[in-house]
Amino acid sequence: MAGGQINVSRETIGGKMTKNETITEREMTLLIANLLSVKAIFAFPREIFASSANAAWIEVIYMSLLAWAMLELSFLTYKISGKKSIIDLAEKIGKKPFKIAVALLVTAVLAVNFITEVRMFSESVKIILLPKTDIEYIMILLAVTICLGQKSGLSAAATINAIFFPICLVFLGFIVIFLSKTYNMNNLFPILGNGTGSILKGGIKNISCFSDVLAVNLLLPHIQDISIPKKSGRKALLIASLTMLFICLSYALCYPYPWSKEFLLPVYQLSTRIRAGEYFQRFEAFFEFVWEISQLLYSTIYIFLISETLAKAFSLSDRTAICYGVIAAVALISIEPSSVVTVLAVSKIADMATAHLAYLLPIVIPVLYIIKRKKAQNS
Amino acid sequence: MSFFNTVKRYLLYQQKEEKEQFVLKKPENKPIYDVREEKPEQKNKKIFKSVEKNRDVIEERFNYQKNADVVIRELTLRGDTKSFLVFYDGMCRGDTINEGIIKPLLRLPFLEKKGAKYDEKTVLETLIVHNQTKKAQCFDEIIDGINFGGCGIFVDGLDTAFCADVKDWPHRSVEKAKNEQSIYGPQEAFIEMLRGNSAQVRKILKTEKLVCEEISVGNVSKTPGVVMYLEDVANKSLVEEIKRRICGISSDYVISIEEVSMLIEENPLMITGHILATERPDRVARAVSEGRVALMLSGSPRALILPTNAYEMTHSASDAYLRVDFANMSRTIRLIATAISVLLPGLFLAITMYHAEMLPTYLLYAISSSRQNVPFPSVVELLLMDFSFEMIREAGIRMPNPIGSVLGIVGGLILGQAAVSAKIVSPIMIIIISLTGIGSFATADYALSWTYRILKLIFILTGAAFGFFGIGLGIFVYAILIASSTSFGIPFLSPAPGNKLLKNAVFVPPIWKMERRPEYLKTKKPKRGDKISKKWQAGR
Repeated sequence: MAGGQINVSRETIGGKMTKNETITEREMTLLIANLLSVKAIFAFPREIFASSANAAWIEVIYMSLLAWAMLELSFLTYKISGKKSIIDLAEKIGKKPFKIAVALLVTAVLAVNFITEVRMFSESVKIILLPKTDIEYIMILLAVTICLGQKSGLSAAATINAIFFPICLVFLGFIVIFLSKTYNMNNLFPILGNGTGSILKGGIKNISCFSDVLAVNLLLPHIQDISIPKKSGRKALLIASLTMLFICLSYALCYPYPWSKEFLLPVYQLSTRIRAGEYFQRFEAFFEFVWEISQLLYSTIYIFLISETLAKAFSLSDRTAICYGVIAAVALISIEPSSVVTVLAVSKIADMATAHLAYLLPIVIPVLYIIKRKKAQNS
Repeated sequence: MSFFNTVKRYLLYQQKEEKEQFVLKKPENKPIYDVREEKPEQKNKKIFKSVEKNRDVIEERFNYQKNADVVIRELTLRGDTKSFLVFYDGMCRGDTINEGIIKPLLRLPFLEKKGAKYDEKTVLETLIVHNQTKKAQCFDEIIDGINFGGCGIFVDGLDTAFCADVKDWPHRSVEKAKNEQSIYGPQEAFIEMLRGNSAQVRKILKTEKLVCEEISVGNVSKTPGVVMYLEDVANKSLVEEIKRRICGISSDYVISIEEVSMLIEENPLMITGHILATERPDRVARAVSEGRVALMLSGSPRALILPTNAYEMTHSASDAYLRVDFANMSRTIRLIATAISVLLPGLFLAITMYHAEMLPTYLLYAISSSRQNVPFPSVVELLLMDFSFEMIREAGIRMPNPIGSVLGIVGGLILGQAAVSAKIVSPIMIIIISLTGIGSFATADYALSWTYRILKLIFILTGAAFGFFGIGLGIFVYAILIASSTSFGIPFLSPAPGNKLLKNAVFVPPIWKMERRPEYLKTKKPKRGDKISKKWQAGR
């Protein structure tokens, strides 16, 4: 009977809730680091060892510096282009046709990366975890899970990634530590491997390892502050470079050249060598289990990026339908080649054709936009 | 005669007599009065000046001819003024009605004064000797009051009626918390009395800034409740949103706070609840002081705390009363127990069925030899044992206490031992199920233990079907669903990874480091106290 009755009318009901798709600096850093590192784990660039031999770790440092330089160049344009991705800028430069063309190029770059990665992951699951299961079933499971992951959006994937990715890095650290018993320093010599020429040429050829930095630009509309992508991009590249460096060093220290260029799944080979006391006789299944979640997050983010790019290209308000289509297409294409060797060969060619675009597009498109803007201002 | 009939019935065939069977018929006539079909003009039906007309309305609304517990007491006041009282027998305090309402109305020599007349002001201020009485112009207000244990007073010649709060229904006294026990700290728990519950919180917080806004839920039941928050701390938009959702409940009868919880939640179909329910006033007081909002409902011995996050669900009421190291150890054990209760059976199946190479050889031999004569596959064996355990648990809850404990012993020890002896299950499976069960008992929140039990089943199935890969998929899907969900606009996984406050959410910080309120609550006062809470350390 006391006072204080609430006077909220029922008519006020119906406030629509929108899904929050913004991500924080840490989330973005770890997202990009995941994209770069997962690729290094599951689709390990054997070519680095093929081109530079024992000096693969030097090539990784060199590639990292190249990628870092390209990233810094793209950062220079952010002041003017703001929080607009290259797809948004393309629309401002050349209206819809140019936007569609750029979007299709971006999709191609992402798809090439992603299709190879999905197949390699499925193969590693089959070899390590489910040897009796057909790859098709693994792919279907993967596709269904990614579909479920997609429904939750970018923000949820970024949050989960920020929790799981550091755990994965810790496990990678354990691998490096546990492997230390099997390291042979002699494997590192001669220190320059096949020579400086091979390192320099190989570095430019294999720079596709870090082509996922394109995501820094594509995620621009999802950040709160323009200073975030710069910091995140640099940190993520550093994390990924270190991950790759440690993997390469461990691999080089465990397997002498030319034996080291023979394995299809080098990180799996590394994990099979682990012996931790009397108990953990085979570590690779647990390793795969931990990194599986990172891989699923990688796939979720990739599908998000591809579907968002396509949705923007064709001015669609809802990307859900595209998502499912993209997942189905990726699953079908990645499963098409019967052998992993074919996948690697095809992806190598496709990589060479598209990887450099990943670095050039975030520089060229904003520059074109700046030129157009200046012209417009002058006129 | 009847004997012969009985014999005849057994010897000769006779058509069976058709007995009249009861069939529930469709109602032919609409109910005379249905509150759900009220039109606005009916809803605000004004009180008449004529006491007879008012009585007719009241008799009709309360179905007086059939309702045995409705009391209509007629009075003739001085000066032959007719009046009547309406109340429910058993819901009101009879003494208060006699002493505070009937006696003053009948005995006060008010009308002997020259020129005196009955008007609403006089009746309210002079004649009704009761501390909580309100006046009303329309019937609904009075009827709502009567339904909640009030006494309606109608006086001839007045188009206003009065409702005195004289409720006194049977209720239990304050007892110890049953589901959230703590060795230290207050032991009192909520009861089914709304005002008693709000008073318990007020007793702890002792500030006039604590607001208890009245609400009612249910179109017909109009169950009263309160939204409780600190005026100078809680985020206004959060309070408004909670009130908006409560007002948006359109259900005839809402009886318990759990129903309200399901009706206002954003993700009611998720296996993890997004609202914390507690039976401890101290926990509510602590949450309200942080800037959260509490919701209480009459008849419910629990309060809801809104919003909450995933970490909060794993906290125990006793954490706040233990020294930091003890509390953290307790919390760590609980987290490990949670992981065991959810993942152990699934991981066991995954390792034994798919990744046996991970186990040391002699452990593998031990497991294989223990399963040598068991006829079922591991997954069937595990599900069988788990189902038995769940049955014992369910039966134990529903049985009276002494029988419940006996049931636990019979079920757990004897049944387990017999199953192993009969080679239906292996001893290792008993160990796995026992560890899982103990782990789930260590869960702080009872609702969360349900979540873990469902998750455990999911991981058993995925682990049995796809080994580590299946468990990984399950973890991913559950994690991403949790991450995408919100509790009253706040991400359920707040504070976000990387936030400094995350470690405070997962572990118990020292009390002198709890200077700030949770950032994600966006409170009016972000700080709880001074930066240095131990000022005595700064020197004399």
